[in-house]
Amino acid sequence: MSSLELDKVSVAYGNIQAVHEVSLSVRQGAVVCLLGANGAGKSSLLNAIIGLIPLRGGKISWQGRDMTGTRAFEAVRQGLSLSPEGRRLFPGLTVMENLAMGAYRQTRGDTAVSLERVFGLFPRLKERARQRAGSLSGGEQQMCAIGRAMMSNPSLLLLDEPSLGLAPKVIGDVARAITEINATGVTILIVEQNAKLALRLSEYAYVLETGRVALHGPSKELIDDPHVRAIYLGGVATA
Amino acid sequence: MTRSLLVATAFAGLIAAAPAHADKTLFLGGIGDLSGQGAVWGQALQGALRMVQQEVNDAGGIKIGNETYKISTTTYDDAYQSQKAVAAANRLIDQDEAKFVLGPLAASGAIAAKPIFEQNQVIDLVVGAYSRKVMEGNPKYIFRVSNTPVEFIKPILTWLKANNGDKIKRVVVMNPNDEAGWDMQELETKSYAEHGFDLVAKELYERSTKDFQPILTRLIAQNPDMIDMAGSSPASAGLIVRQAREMGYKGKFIKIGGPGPREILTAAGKEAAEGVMQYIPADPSTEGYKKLSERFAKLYGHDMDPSALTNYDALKILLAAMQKAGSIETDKVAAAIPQVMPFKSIAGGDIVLGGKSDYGSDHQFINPIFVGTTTDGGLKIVQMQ
Amino acid sequence: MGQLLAQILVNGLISGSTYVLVALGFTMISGIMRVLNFAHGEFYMMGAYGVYVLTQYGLGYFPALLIGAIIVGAFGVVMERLIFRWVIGREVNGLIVALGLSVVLKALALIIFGPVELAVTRPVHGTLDLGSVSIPYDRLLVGGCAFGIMLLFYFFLTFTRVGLAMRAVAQDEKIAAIQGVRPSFIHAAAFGLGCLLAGLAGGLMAPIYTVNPTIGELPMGKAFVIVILGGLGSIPGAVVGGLLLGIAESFFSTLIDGTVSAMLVFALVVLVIIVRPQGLMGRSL
Repeated sequence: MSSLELDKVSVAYGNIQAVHEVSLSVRQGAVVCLLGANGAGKSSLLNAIIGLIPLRGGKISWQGRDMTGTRAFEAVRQGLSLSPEGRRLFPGLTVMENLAMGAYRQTRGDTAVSLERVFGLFPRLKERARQRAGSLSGGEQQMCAIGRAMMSNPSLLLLDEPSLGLAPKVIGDVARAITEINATGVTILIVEQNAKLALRLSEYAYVLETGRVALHGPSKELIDDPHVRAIYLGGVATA
Repeated sequence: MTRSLLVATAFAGLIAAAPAHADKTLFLGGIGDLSGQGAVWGQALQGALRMVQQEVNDAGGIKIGNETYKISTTTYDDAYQSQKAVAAANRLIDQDEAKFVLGPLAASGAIAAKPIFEQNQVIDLVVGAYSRKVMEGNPKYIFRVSNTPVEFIKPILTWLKANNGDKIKRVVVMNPNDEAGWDMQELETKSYAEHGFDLVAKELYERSTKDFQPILTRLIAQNPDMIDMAGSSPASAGLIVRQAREMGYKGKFIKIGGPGPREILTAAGKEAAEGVMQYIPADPSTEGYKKLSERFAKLYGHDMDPSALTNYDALKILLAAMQKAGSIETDKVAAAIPQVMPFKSIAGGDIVLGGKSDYGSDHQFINPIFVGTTTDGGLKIVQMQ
Repeated sequence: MGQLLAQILVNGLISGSTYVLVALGFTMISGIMRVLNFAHGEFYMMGAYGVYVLTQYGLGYFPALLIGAIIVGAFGVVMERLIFRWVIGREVNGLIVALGLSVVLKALALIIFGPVELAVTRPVHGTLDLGSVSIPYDRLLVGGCAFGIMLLFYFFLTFTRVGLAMRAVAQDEKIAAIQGVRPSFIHAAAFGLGCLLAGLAGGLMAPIYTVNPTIGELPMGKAFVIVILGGLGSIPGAVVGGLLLGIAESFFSTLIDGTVSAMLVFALVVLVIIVRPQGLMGRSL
């Protein structure tokens, strides 16, 4: 049964249409990835799902509930959470305070449980708890951003470019964390430029080109697709 | 309810309008600060106009020559700013066709509006405006109706020397840092020296100052016997008194400048204000003052500033001059003003015309001069000779 | 000389601490809403009138101070909902709206109370004499209260959920929203809190000076200088800037004179703008 359902979703900034009638569905408990070049509309789509950008057209539903027109501050109560592109931590707040913001709508007891879980995923954050988020390294910032998104104990996690600008070793840590999160039953929609990583993590993939779905299919099949290989995998053969 | 009120108003209007064939309207304009730092004086100016209007109209008008006039008045707010005073003067002359104006209060405004009144042959009764320039150049239509330091500083210092000369030797003068303050400081420097006082410090502070502690720290170190708040606004003067007392200053205070006993008392508090001396233009203990003050309180809901009485007297002098001239032509009225002097103030004492020796022409009303000493929240009044 | 310096420092710290209260609200509103609330001085004025009116009705000074400030804060919330929410993030529009509100509030005070100087009965009398330094008790009280309020405000921002959310909204409103923070609630709360602080400052200063419709202009001017000095939107900047301004003014006007002091303070501000355009502490809440 499919759980996140996008039906002909369009998004525009003024006169510039970023997303054209995109339809996609994500099975409950799955990891699905959105591939595409810069400006293909991937981030716009995630922002639209969480309510940061209003829809120009179409419908969004999550677990059978219509989410169209839900405002950003209400989305978290529906179980949605976003780790935004460029991490967007609150730079003047400490790591701990950033995580506390992630649990803004949680009760005190739930917050303690979530915190333990996040520290389990990223032990580094515990060491850095009192440090200002702005002073963290890139990898730590990404961990903090994912951690913050996990603090609300979401059922759907939207990850926007989690590997951007990270060292290979750190990318491995982040990838492991994503798999672990998914293993606890969290549905994940991940936007990535690193197609190789995204296809490895996901079970199904959509390829966006200039705001439209150009191609979609099971990730295993797309890895071997000549078009995908030529454009997104730089022609490099994968295992 | 509203409807019947409207009908009643209309009806009242009809009655009032009925004898209009006999009455003409005499317009008296006002320019004063109604919203800024000098609003207390502005209200006193507006209040004097309203009170004169009220009593003339209640008495059925004033007979000048063969005509009976009702009075109407409008006071424009100049917010103590010269460009607004000029705008108000133009508006009074062009739109309201005023021939007689009371105000402005601020020296800068009075100086700026002066040529407009002179050119249009409009009689302007200037109030306050402590600057020599207001009276310079032998104006024909400008009269200053209130005393300025030039008039009252000498009598007050003479009195002070005679009564407290042994106790008061070292004096400090505090003035706001603007044209009025500079004029005042120059005059006081000269006058204190002439009367044998030792002026140990002269301070010019910014008008917006509220925290005088830093300045007072320095001045009190000079061991003064008396602090003169001179051209300070009454509220500033009160704050100076209070803060100096709190800093342990034991000497005397005097304010030889624009009056404001109520504001000084308010700002200083009853305890600190005890014994503060100040120039007062009218004796509040007289019957005439009390009656006028009651009428003012009915209009504004609080006590009258003494300057309202000076304004009231000035307007009565103007009306008397019109009656003497038998005309409201400004040339004739201006010529008649000296003829109605000396004029008896409502609070007693004579108002005379003078100023030739100081300004070159007799266009200055010289009002009785008093010193009030704050005593137990009230004022003990002494008249100067 | 050491004695004089101590007196200068104490005078400066006390006047600076009251500047800080006004500047804190101004800078917080600017940080969270990107609105320069030039009507902030009028909320100070309302706080002073609040204390005046409530004590006239027989309330004690401290209850009057508190209730007055809460009323001012509530009025701030109403103004935010009615007016300021339409200009959030548009600094020029916000500035014009605020200037307009400032004129209206002053005019209202003039109509209701007249131009007269009103006095609030002082809660304490006398002077504390420490030999080298003398401090009037009422000023000591104002300074103590101001520092106490600053401390409370710091704890509120650091340790409460709403305080944390305010800082988060100041740093990144959209990202704060997806954590579940309702921005409109934070805007209204921050505006109200800022006005409450201004009201407290006005109420604290009311017995020290007198109350009239224009008393808000001076503290507003100081607050603006302080936030430029300390960094627009910066809370530590407002504290450092306010105390610095208080001490600098006290120092210059005691040792030189008031006019030169105003000039030197202005020169200091210009210097900061040139050397550190972001202010001493930069922009962060």
